[in-house]
Amino acid sequence: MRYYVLVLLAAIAPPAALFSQSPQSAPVSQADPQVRGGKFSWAFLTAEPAGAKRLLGQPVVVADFGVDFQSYQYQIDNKDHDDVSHLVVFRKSTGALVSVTRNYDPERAVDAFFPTAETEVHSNPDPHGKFDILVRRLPGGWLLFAMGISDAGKPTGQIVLMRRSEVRFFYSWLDGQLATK
Amino acid sequence: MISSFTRAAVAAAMFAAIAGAQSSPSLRILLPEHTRLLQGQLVDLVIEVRNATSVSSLKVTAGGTDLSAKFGAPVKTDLDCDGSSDWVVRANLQSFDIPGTVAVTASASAGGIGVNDSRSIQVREFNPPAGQRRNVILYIGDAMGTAYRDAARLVSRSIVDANGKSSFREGYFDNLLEMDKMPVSGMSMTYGTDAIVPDSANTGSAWATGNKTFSASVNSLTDGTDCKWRFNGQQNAANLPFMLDNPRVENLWQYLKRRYNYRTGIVTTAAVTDATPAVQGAYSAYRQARLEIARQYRENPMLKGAPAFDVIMGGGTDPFTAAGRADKRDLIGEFQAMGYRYVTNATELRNVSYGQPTIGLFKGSARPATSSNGIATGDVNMDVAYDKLGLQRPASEPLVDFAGYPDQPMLDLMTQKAIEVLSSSLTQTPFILMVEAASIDKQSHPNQAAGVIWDTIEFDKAIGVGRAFAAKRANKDTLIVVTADHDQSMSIIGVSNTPDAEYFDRAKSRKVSYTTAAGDSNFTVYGDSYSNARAGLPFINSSTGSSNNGGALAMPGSFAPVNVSDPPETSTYVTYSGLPYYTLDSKTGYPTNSGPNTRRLAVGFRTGDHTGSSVPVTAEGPGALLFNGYMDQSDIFFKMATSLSVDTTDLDKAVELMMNPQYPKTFGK
Repeated sequence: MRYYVLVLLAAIAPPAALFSQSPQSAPVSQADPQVRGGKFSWAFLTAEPAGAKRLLGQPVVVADFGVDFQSYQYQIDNKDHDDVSHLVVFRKSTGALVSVTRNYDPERAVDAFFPTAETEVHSNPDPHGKFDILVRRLPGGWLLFAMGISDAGKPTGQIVLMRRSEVRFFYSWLDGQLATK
Repeated sequence: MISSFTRAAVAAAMFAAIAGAQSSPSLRILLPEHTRLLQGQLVDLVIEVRNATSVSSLKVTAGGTDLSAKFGAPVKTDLDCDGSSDWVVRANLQSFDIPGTVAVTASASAGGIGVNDSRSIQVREFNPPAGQRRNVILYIGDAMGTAYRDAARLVSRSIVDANGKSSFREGYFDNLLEMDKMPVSGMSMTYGTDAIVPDSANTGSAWATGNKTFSASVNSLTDGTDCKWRFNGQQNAANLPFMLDNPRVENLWQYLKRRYNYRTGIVTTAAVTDATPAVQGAYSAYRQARLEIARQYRENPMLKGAPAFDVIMGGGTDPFTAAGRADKRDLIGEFQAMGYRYVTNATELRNVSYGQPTIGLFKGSARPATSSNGIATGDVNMDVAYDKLGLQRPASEPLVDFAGYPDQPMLDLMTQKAIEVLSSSLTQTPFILMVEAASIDKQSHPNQAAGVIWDTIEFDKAIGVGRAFAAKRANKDTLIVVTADHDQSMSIIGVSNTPDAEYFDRAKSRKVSYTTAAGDSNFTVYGDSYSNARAGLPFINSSTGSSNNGGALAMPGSFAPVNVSDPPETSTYVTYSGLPYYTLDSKTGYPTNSGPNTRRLAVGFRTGDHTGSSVPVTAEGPGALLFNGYMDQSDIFFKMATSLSVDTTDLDKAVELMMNPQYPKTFGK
């Protein structure tokens, strides 16, 4: 079968990438965390602020929120048009990375990222919104969350990499629990 | 290299500088500048005080009346996610009873510093004349912009009979769509408060409440805790309180039920907790809080915990089941205990007649389960008309999987039964019903033209059901409005004569790759591409212009090279000229999409998402003339309300006069 390669202007790449019948593949190597030699790694952990903004390529949405936050949103392998695969949040004032939220659809087990010895289970004390979060403390002041589960072997729809110092702005209850452990 | 510690220190210093620069106390009334309400329409009055060690001496007035006593105590809250000391003061479910412009003022002492804010809001009269009891049926074709209506017309009204006579000749139709025949037309601007391209939640909120809001919000206004969950992906049970603390604005469905005992209903081909149906019965700043939306259908906050609807029909069983819910409540059982009839398939629905409140959920998951986010479960929409009719999907579109739900009703049957139930109360109370064709949008996102077009035709048949009901009403008491929530990017690009052997052949395909500076994008192209030009692919036509050759050449190999000197009828793949040619399946009443002489409508998609284009509105019945011309989408709320609450005799006479044969009439109308 013959293959035709059409070289088009880069300007038309975003719609082409979004609505291809095949999954986009360009930034996938940066899309998910890895465990190599027993060590957790994700490119966001070592990237400089400007580099972190480029890791996943061109976002589909950039939105400012709060007083000082900026969100880059991606649709790399999401199934539903209303959902995003990644949300990467930066401080507007400094460009510093605040958090990376990775959504999974379908949900998946994440035990490889949460070794039992390094994993804490925290629960929202609100009886109307009980919610469990697995927490792994990473070097450099980072936390890795698995949302909505108390056992890493159970599937989750979301993992979050968040700077420890930012937790208080989004999960004040968790900030308090982390401080006491 | 700068250490992470240094970076963090610099970041902290810069953030502190920003926070410090914005540390003056302030007060904000959480009502938009353009707030409009009906008299008596409920709204949460919420006041945010920022950067204050304490709040005291709160005084709120509306039209000179002191409302301060209605407010609760200030609650310390972190607004804007900046760690500052902020406060929220609420007076939930308030209303303004005197029509006119109302000045709302608020003042307080914020840590000893005086702060204040004000709004000027419009309160419109709602006072139906004695004896006037009118119904409303609002039809929402999700994403049904002008091209979508055109496509449904061109496919369903270009029928060639056994004698070779087409119902579309010389550019005229023998019989237009049901929605085309409605006498009054306008256009609706659909912009949200935060984007020109909206979603189904904030567009629905506009027609349901008369007020605009932000994307993904169901009848809720923005507030200072949105930063906890919007834009950072933290939509989960822990943050649910921040999605439910936004100021709520009562929708027309609850307003009419609460004040005038209207019967209310929703019919949709989506999951019934999807955004478009949700705006008729729930209040959540996040549309995907499906478990909460289902709960509010059962115990609605505007109705003191009474059910929002007398009729619910659509897909999405899971959030109503104990297995699918985090709280393990069996909402279906609760509805049944309250006297609701529960049906699960078309056969059962056909046996429904009259009166009894009805919940029909026609598709769910095999094993409902709560999402790990704790606020949602399976989002199972009904299958589309094309598949329910058993038509063969074109090669590029996925094959149907009914997943254990093979007997799903068509939208016109659902509409018929909803109207029968709603219109047959013993007390002859009027009703308001929303009917949604959801998969016009859902099939348009992946650029599945056949799915889109047949769903729009199905929608038109459902509109015909409503029109027939209204026409039989002796006192002409039923307003019908047909519109869309937003547009998508489909356009009409011509006609394709691709033979069935190519159109349906899933084995024959071609890979197309783009190489760009941003990486490669890969496509698989099938033989139906000539009638469905997908987003991102080069435009495919018969031109020999240099920029288009690649598109034509990229098609499956059996197609002949382009030669524009060939007469169109000898072309083996496409003409993009001429008229459509469809045959009718007399058993279903729908056009077939196959046959030796079929010339299919060719459409193109520029993107796979919503657009910011205005959408058509058509109306018929009492007050229909109000829907003439360009309007904002939020006006639809007030126009519907006006048609119910005002004697529209003069307007209705004008429409009748307009239809007098002495004035020009469109063929087929």
